[in-house]
Amino acid sequence: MFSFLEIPGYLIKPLTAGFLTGISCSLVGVFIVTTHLSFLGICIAHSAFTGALLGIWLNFNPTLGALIFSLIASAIVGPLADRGELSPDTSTGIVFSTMLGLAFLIIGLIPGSKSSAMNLFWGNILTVSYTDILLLAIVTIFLIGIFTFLYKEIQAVLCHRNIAIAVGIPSALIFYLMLIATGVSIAVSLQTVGGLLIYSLLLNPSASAYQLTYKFKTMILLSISFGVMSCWGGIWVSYKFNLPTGACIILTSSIIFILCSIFSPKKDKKFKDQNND
Amino acid sequence: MDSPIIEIKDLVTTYYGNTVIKGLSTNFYHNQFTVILGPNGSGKTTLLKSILGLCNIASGEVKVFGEKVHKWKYKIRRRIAYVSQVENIDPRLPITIEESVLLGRAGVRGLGKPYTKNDRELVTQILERLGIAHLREKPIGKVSGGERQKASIARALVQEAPIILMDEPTASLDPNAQLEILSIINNLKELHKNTTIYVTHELAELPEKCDRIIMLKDGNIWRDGNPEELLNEDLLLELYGGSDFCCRDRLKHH
Repeated sequence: MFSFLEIPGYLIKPLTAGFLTGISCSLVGVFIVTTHLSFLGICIAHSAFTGALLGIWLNFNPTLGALIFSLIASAIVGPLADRGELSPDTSTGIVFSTMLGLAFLIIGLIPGSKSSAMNLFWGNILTVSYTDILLLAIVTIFLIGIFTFLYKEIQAVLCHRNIAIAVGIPSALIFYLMLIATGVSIAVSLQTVGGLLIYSLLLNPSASAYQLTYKFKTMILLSISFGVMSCWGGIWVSYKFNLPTGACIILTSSIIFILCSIFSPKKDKKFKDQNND
Repeated sequence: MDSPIIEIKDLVTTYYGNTVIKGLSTNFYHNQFTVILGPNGSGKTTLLKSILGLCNIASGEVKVFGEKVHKWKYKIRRRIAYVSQVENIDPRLPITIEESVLLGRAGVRGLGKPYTKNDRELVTQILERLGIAHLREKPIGKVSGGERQKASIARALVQEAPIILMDEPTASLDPNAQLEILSIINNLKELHKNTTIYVTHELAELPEKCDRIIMLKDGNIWRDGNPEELLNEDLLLELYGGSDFCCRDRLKHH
């Protein structure tokens, strides 16, 4: 990709941010993909976007706004889904549409140019600051710590919450911890990847890894690798061909997903037949 | 008689506003194999879930080892193993049979503590006893439904819990797999000295070595006694309200 000496100085920060975003989004992506809660991911991403817009409108740090709103969304959607009167998708949809409505209301209320609000839509990894990188690093270390320390508990909850409950794991605690981790990861990645694009970076690397392996640990490692490859590949394409970086990152992750789907051992007919029994 | 391991007193549970269990009281004792029979909707599964602390208890109480159960009291559940009607793990998930069985040790080992060599050896022993050791490296999606259900029984056994709850573990299996699972259940007493509560509505699937039968009807205990007393056609016909032919035919298998 880049030989070390050829990397222009201004790309060091984006590449570092890409590395950290790739890891953190892919890790929470494993949670979202294996629990089939991809709509929850899109809901939290849009809530973070709304919080960041609020920050711009009321003149406080947008990342802080994103963090607060993504945590609020996680705190509402989790218990609503648990109550069971409505399907998780329905309650997530209600929170999602409310957040989106708020986002457009805030965009309308922001005085003057809306360019900073629009930047949040697409993100801009090339203008990432050292503070953003520091935040990303803290969150990435926090996530790696959670996945390492609570590996077997997370695996049990991802397999099925009833199994985690039955074997005596604090299933609800782990599930909510993962929701919070998803919210935090999205909030700090918003500035770099953007509110609309981050969803793909959450989903594509882990969905690609899911296609290739039958082992949970391998899925996590592959997901991280694909996340980092997507970010670095996207930045390289964007740099070489002068294209929007966020879009290049997402399209790279989509290409990886397509390749993984083509070469997936799970599309094997025998595997499908056994599961349709 | 010993002091009870599970005490249920005047239990009333609700599910989406409907009362399912209506003032049920009973005790379960050490090393007792109890079969719970009853038609659909009689409250069998709800009773098991109440023991696990997963039901909405409107009144009354359930105590396990003298401690009141509640959905947030997860540590008590390490002492209760549970086998559901079907293996809950989505067969598309990236997990091998061995990993899925090892999950039974996750709670016992404690929060944040990795599995030990002993945990893995215990898993190997149980997999061998259940005749699925050769499948240990197989992805869960690449084995049959019966083998997956054996893995879920293995997960309950490696938990080494003093209480095992089984909720119609053969319900979704073909006849051959049902026989294999039943033979494992019949040997449970030799495998583990524990209190087993086995729920079924299938008379042809009654385990051979049960000590006690509880018949549930309309959310309460209708009959409670030993198999010799209760396994007769008249009572079963009254319990299930089905045709004479149906009960007699199924009871013949026992």
